[in-house]
Amino acid sequence: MIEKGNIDEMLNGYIDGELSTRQMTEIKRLIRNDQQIAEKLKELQKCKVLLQSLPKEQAPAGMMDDIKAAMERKTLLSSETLSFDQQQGSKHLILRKIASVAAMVVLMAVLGAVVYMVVAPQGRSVEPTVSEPIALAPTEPAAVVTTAEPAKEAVATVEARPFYARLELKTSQLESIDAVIKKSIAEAGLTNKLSGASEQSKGLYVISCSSQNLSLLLAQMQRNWNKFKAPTLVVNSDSSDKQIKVKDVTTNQIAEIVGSDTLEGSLETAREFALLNKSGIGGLLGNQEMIVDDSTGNDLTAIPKRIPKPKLTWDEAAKTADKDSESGLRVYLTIVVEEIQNDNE
Amino acid sequence: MTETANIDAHSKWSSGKPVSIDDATLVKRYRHGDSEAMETLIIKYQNRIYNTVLKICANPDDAAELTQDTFVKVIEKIEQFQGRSGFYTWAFRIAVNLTLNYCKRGVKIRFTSLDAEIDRADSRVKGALRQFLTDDNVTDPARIAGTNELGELAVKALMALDDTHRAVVVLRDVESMSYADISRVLEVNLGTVKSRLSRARNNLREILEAFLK
Repeated sequence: MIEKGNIDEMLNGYIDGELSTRQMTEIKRLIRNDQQIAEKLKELQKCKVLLQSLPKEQAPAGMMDDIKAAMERKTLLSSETLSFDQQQGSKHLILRKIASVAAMVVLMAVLGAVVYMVVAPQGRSVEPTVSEPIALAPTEPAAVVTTAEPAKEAVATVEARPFYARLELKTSQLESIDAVIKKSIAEAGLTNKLSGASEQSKGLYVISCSSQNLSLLLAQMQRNWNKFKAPTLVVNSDSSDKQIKVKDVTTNQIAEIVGSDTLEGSLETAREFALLNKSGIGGLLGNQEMIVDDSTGNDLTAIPKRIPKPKLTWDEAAKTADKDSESGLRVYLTIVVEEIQNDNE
Repeated sequence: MTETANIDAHSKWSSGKPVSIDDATLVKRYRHGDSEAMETLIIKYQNRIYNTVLKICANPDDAAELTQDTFVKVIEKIEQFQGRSGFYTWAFRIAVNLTLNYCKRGVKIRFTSLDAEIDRADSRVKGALRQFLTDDNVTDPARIAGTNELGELAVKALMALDDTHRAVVVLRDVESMSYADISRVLEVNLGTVKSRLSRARNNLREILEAFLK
């Protein structure tokens, strides 16, 4: 059953022609069968007809002109507003430009500060300054580290600590030995590594070079090593008041000592050779490959068990030196040749 | 009745000359700088919009002003017209919204009370209304269009309706707009259009009967 409200809407839809075919059929049936609905339909139709009968009024003449005039007024007003807006816009634009410049200045300042913090300290960083070791027992200079440098720099400086040593040689033929040593230095290409004072004097050679270059020199000197008496390598240890003396040192031992990657390694090697040579084993082995064997029956409990690194030949040393002449530990070696009266002394 | 059918039905009195170009083309031409296209649209719809606005606000001067405002707004907002609905319903939506807002302000529209109107209705007018309501044969609007008394009463009864009911019944019975177009113009759903129209006609009937008492 259709509700009254719905019937009214359907009756309106019926007179307006807005019903579907099914609705139209249903409402027609209701109209036929229900007198009240039929009366209602007539009332609604009367209302519709009454309103439809109202005269259709024409728009006033000159509507088009009025619209155009209104548009012109609007355009004029909007152009005035635009002019005002443009003035405001110019001011706003200037302010924005000033703000942009200020922002850029601040940004540049911040960037500059960041770059200064990152780059400038590195630019100002001073290479570890080392005094030229012209003294026989040069004091190991402290690496100069500016307080502004980051901790990383300090670590790098510590790792780059040089190796200081003094090689003491004795001979009764100072003239010829001096010539031999200088020739060896020249052949090793270390003439430019020699301090100025060394070139003038006899028996004193202060060399500043890499461990690789020193190996080259040692390879040259090995040929005449038997002309030296009691060669002793004096190594400055960590503590400046303590020295490691490696007596009867061989060129291979020196090469191995300076061949270590770190200063600590070199000092440790020097200690071991000092102990070995003191016990006489190192002297017996001389420049031969050293093999430690407990089966010999010797009391080697106090002697470190070590397998030395393979020794460099002249060619190998030269190749390595050519390839990376400045690599390895930085070595400051002072060679002191003391003249003695005769070989028997 | 479709939008196109509505345009055709009113073409005789809307512009006075046949309009062969459809609204979408005219809008497109206006957007491309053809100002005559907008003039064509204004000529096409000015009478219909004015008539509808006048039936809702009941004041010729206000109706003229509201119609003018409608077309000014149409010109201003034409770039926003996306063509989802027809230009016809879009323009009527602007017109009806402007008119209903104007009615809500209630500044210029001065309604006299229904009782006062009833009192002033003389016996001649009452007689004409009674005959109209009781005569089952009077179903042709053209037959009673010349009866001034009925027309005046119809306008007064119409103005006695509230704004939303008046708008929907004017759009339907004066402008002959379809329910679908009414829902687009008033931006309400179809069910609301039906219920408002039903209530508006019932109220109108009651108002007319009140004139006879």
